[in-house]
Amino acid sequence: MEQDKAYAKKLRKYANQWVALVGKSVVAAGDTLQKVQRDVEQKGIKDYVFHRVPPPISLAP
Amino acid sequence: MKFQYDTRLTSLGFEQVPRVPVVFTNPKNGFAIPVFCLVDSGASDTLLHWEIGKTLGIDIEKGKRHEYAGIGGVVAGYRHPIKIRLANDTCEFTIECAIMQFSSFDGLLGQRGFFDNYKVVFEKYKKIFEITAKK
Repeated sequence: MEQDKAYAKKLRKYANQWVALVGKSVVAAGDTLQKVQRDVEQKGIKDYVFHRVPPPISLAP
Repeated sequence: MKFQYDTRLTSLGFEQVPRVPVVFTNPKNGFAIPVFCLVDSGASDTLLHWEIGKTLGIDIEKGKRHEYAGIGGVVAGYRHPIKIRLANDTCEFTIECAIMQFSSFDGLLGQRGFFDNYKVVFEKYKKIFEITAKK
């Protein structure tokens, strides 16, 4: 649980940005998905997933 | 497949949300992208951020336009056929996804398209949820 909280705190710094995650590590981040995709491809990273980090408010879609 | 709830930090403290990695593929060109989506039983459709559509090489505004109402107001989405599968799974479905300009979300897995094809069991008190493709 403490690990999850540390991860959530870390991710909050990327609010409103796109990130590439490998497990619970941020391996690339940026304002556009295209930039983040380029970064992970250039670094040769595998098994990533993209995520747009929501703002640190509760969500009501 | 079982998944753990994802933890996020808001001004109200820590929250657990059901997010799952899904691979979206454009059936017209084979471009694919993995996205960490929110499983949202309250969303009527499966919704994707505009930039995901662009990255998949979709001519977004050529899709069928449909309006979606949420607490934040009305937003237009453009519907396109897209293949979806859970990451690390082989089962794939072609569904209609609505691509729209919204700032807070990457992908919402909603009733039409996602819940049509997957059984979802939420056990938040255990911090896990299970997704099974229909047979």
